[in-house]
Amino acid sequence: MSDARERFAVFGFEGTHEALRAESVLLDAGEEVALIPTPRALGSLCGFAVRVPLHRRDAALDELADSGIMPNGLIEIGDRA
Amino acid sequence: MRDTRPIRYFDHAATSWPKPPEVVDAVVRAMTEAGGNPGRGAHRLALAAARTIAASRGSVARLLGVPDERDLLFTAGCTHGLNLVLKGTLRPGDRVVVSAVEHNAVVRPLALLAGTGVELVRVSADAEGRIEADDVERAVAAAPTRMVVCQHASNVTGAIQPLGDIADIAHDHRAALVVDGAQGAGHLQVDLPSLGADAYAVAGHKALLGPQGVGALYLAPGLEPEELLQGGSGGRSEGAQQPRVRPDRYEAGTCNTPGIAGLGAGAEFLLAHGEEIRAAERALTRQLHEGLSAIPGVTVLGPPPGEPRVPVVSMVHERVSPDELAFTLEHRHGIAARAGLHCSPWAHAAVGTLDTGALRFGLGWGLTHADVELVIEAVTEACR
Repeated sequence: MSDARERFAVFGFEGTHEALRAESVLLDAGEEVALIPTPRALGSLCGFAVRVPLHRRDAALDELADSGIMPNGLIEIGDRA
Repeated sequence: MRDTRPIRYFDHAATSWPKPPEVVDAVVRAMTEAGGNPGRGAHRLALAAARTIAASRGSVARLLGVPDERDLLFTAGCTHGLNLVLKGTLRPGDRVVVSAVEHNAVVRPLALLAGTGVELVRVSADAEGRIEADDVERAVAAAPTRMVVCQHASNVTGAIQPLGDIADIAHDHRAALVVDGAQGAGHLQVDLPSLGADAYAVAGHKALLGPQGVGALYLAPGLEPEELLQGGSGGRSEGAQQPRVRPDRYEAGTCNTPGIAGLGAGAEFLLAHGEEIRAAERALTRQLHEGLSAIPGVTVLGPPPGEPRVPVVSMVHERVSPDELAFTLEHRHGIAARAGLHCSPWAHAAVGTLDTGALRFGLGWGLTHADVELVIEAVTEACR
């Protein structure tokens, strides 16, 4: 059993519309995406944030940028589950 | 007790009925499968509600040709949208050019604003309820003008206003064009970028086939009215100021998710079937217009048969009053139509029926040529 917790990148957005659009873009790109309650460390942007595995952070940022989406915050977290 | 008598429903201009089954299903699904609070949490029911609203926003935006969905705001109805853009934009000293056939959804907020020092300039209509673009040009050119307000189509005469020309005139004079689209979208194919409206308000419950209590407002980029309501938006909760990002800025408080879901389903239904629905409405409208016009003593308001109009046919009879006629039609024939001033005293004044009102038939999805024939026969009998 590994004791290494999986790490994630979490993107925060100004509004629900942008967060859902980001989720849609990343799902279309084949990313492993989850919407999670916005971590307090992101401040209080919209109520949920977009999580991807940390090793996919830069790829996800590129995919979002290609669709004209710019996150308003980015943090790294460990697996909460 | 439920009234199960058959009904021929000719009041679509007020509220469309029946609704497509897809609309009813969408409302129920929103209350069952997506019953959380949209944008206020990340559990599955809250996310389902948020996704429901996002999907509906996309559907309505596609129907109206809105390029950026964030410019399409959900409201409590057309009146709400019009109040938002009028009260949020106009300030004492501003000058507004407004058509003289507007609904009270425009007339009343503007009357309130006039009391604060906003100058109103009315542009008269012709005897059939149509606004001439040249008259708008003269009014706008006379002095610096902040806004032009005009309906897309009349809920009394059915007349369709020349919005493309009016948009060009407004923009040539650096004025914003605000449109009451209550009788336009759905009955007419609307592509907002080509129409040129800076703000376009719609009702969900009329030709868009959605439920009551929901509507939408398109706000062009650059038009930034103050919001009517401030409150929770699900984000930036630490700040006392309303977030500036669209659509959150203008959607304070929990949205009407079931209503929005139904409106989205109505939009999808129109995206799939709108062309055939509009063709059927035109044919039924022409049949009714010609049939009523042939009855002795009847005058049909608005443009003559064959000229463009939305599916609204209002009439007066030289002897039988509109209210008497409406009562007779329903109680003898099960025909639902609306008598009175239709919340549009300006339009009635323009076509000479302010004192009498008129009987209005609002046509829409679900009606047949047999229904229209029954109306013509019933009016003929009642006016004999």
